[in-house]
Amino acid sequence: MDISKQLQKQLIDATHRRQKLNIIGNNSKAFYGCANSNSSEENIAPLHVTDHNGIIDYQPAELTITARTGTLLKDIISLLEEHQQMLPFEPPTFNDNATLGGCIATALAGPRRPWTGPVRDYVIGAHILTGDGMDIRLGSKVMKNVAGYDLFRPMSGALGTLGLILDVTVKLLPRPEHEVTLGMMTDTKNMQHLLHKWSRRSMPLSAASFFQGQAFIRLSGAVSSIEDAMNKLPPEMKQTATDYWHKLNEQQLSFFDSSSPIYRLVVPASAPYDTFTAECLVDWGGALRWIKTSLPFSEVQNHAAGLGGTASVYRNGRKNEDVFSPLPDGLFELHKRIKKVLDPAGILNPGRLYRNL
Amino acid sequence: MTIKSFIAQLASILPPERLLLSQEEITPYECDGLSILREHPLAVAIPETEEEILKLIEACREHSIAVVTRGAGTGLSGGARPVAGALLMSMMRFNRILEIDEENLTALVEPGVRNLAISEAVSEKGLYYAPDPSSQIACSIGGNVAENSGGVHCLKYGLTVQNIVAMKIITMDGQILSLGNNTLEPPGYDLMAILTGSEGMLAIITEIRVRLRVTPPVARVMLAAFDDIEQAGDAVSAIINAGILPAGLEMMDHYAIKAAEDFAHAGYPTDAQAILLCELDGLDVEVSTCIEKLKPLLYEQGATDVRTSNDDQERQRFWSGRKAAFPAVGRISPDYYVMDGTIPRAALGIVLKQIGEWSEEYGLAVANVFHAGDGNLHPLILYDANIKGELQKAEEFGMRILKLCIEHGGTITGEHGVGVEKLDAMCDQFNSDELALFHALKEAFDPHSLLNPGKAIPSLHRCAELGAMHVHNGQLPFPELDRF
Ligand SMILES: Cc1cc2nc3c(=O)[nH]c(=O)nc-3n(C[C@H](O)[C@H](O)[C@H](O)COP(=O)(O)OP(=O)(O)OC[C@H]3O[C@@H](n4cnc5c(N)ncnc54)[C@H](O)[C@@H]3O)c2cc1C
Repeated sequence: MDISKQLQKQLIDATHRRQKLNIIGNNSKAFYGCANSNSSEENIAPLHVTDHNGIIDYQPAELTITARTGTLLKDIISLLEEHQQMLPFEPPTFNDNATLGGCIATALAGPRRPWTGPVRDYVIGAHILTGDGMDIRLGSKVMKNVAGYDLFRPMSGALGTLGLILDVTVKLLPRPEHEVTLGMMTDTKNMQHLLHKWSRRSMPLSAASFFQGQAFIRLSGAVSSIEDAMNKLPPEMKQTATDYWHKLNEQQLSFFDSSSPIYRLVVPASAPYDTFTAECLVDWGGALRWIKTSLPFSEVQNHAAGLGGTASVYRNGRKNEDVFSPLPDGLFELHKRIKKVLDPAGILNPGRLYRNL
Repeated sequence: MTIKSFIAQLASILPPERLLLSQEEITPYECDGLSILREHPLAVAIPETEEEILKLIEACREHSIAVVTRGAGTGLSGGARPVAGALLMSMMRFNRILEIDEENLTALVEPGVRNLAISEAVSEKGLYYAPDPSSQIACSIGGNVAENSGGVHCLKYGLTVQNIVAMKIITMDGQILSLGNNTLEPPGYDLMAILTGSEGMLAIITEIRVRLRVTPPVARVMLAAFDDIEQAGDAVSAIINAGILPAGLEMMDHYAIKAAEDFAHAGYPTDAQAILLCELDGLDVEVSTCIEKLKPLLYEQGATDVRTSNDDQERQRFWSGRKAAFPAVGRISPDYYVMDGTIPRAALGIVLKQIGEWSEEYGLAVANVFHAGDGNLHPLILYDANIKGELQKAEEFGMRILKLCIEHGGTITGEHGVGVEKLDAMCDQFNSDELALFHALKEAFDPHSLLNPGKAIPSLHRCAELGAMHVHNGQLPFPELDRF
């Protein structure tokens, strides 16, 4: 269904009344971002977008799909599966109702991310409404396009603060012919060493994680190359259940079963592990570290900065506090000016990405 | 505040050998790779440090004088062509590789480093920088970022935007900002994407952290010949549809094959109407499996001959003709005009056919050599500038090709940028709201419009005027005047 005209009217209306809006899909990722923006605050009205849904164009031979924001992620994923294709960034869904719009706006990517790239690498076009209801088409349906400034990629990860995504065009990849998951008991140091070694030998890796003394890897590709790669692994590495990645990505591992804050650290993969004594789950081959600790966020941030990365509060953060790493003043001012370009009245998801944005 | 006081201020910042003022010294900077567009800058400054840049732009701000940043000047759309009365700032002294991070596979470089120099610096370690524009011996990485350049291998490895992780910029108000970091997910908005491809309009880039990749153990090229160009176009879609993602997938038509063969002796079949060059890389087994799958598929698609390189020397030879295609065409025609539209792969056959028909209509030959896997066309329109009216004919023909690309759901530029050249075509691709948004974005970075003003995004006025002009065959009155 196409309700873009209705959404446009709502935005124009809201701009006139300076009515702040909380863009809502199916709320599968409502926990993500700063908590104060969610409709708990009375002066923010919900703007429901799930009725704007449907696949507009899917061309397997072009490796692209264009779909409306409210289209269910699971429908897209299963359609692509029929054609042996996939969303390259392996997005988590968290529940059956997750929408494409939420997937792009949060830009959350799964275990495959270090090898295939982030969500923004695959966003090649976006049809948006600006905060004041202008109907804007950015990018296109082809992967190579340098006409006009690239404002389509920034829609990913902006948490709805830069525009209401009506539909997006996403570049796809062929599904690997075959995948194998392997695991072994080891320590983080050895795993880091092995991963570095493998990365230099063109191993067909597509995931690497470490949890509770166990290292897990996934190999993807042609049957022949996987067989070849398996011969080069240490003998202790044994095949194991492939659903580990699904559980990790969907946060169904026991680690995530918690009501205390869960921090997400994005650091250089080479950063040492042994400086932090918190419960830690490692994804993205070491570049993503989930941490549970009673330390305050500021200390976790300092720790991440010391490793050359940043930290955010992923779940169970405190209300009315920023959850993402703060930006230097000059950069934050530029963020504000860019937000103003796309949302002059500042009504789209105010405070969701940063409390003052 | 006069020009004289401006020049005096510049002279207090830079030594005379890095501040060019005489006609003779400035002339080489009058154009970029698109030499039909020329303009005389007020002066050329060649800074070596960020402090010098800060002082230079301060002088420009104080005197309301525009700045045009220039890399190696190989751009093909006039992006680095000076703006009249502006200061041209060459970044080529920012030419150091600052750090190679082998652990995280990144390198920190200055913008004046040549594209190929990065791969050369890390090749001993078995690494390389993937985006490889054909101009890679000469073009700068800063220019690559500003244009979001592509190359033969971006089908599999992405454009510049997918291969850089951080940058440092100086904005026109004199702030130094760091964007991105050495991790997989920097916080905040994706400003890296906004800056990439921004054609020097938003900020001056002073450092770039690029992503390095491990050189694949094996790379082999297949060369498939076709009797019919549409069939070759359709074969491109068939390859992708079969679930194979080649490292590169390039196409050349009869005209380009002949020119390249005469020039480079690559062993191309000169009687073919089209050839496809398809590179596969990765582990040995993986590459062999793909080749076994592709051979029958290519014949099924109508290939008359399929050859596969057996060693690296042969692979280089297969590529040599493709890589030399532009200069090769330059030898057989006094002038040529490179187009750069992108279309969905499925439209390749039909669009190439239409270009062929127009070529006859205009009486101007066209050589096609392009990134077929990306749907990125580079028709080279051959003309002779000494024949009165031929350049105008070539430009009109080119404009029609760009409109055709838009009609097929594509874009007017895949990798060469808009610059000055495609300002009019931008009016066809974007509506006035979209263009107004782009202008507003520029203003957010550069409120006084001092950085490369008038490039990349046409003024609404220009588009309106052009819209009215369409009645008169798309011929602008006073075509020599810029209409910003
Ligand atoms: C023979 C030939 C083949 C080519 N093949 C390809 C190809 O295969 N793929 C492709 O994509 N392009 C190709 N090009 C086009 C060109 O090489 C690229 O656009 C290249 O990236 C330009 O780099 P440059 O250093 O020459 O930049 P310039 O031409 O000097 O500048 C280009 C733009 O970048 C801006 N700029 C430069 N440096 C900076 C900086 N430090 N900060 C901010 N802005 C800056 C300039 O203002 C200008 O707008 C080719 C050109 C030629 C002549």
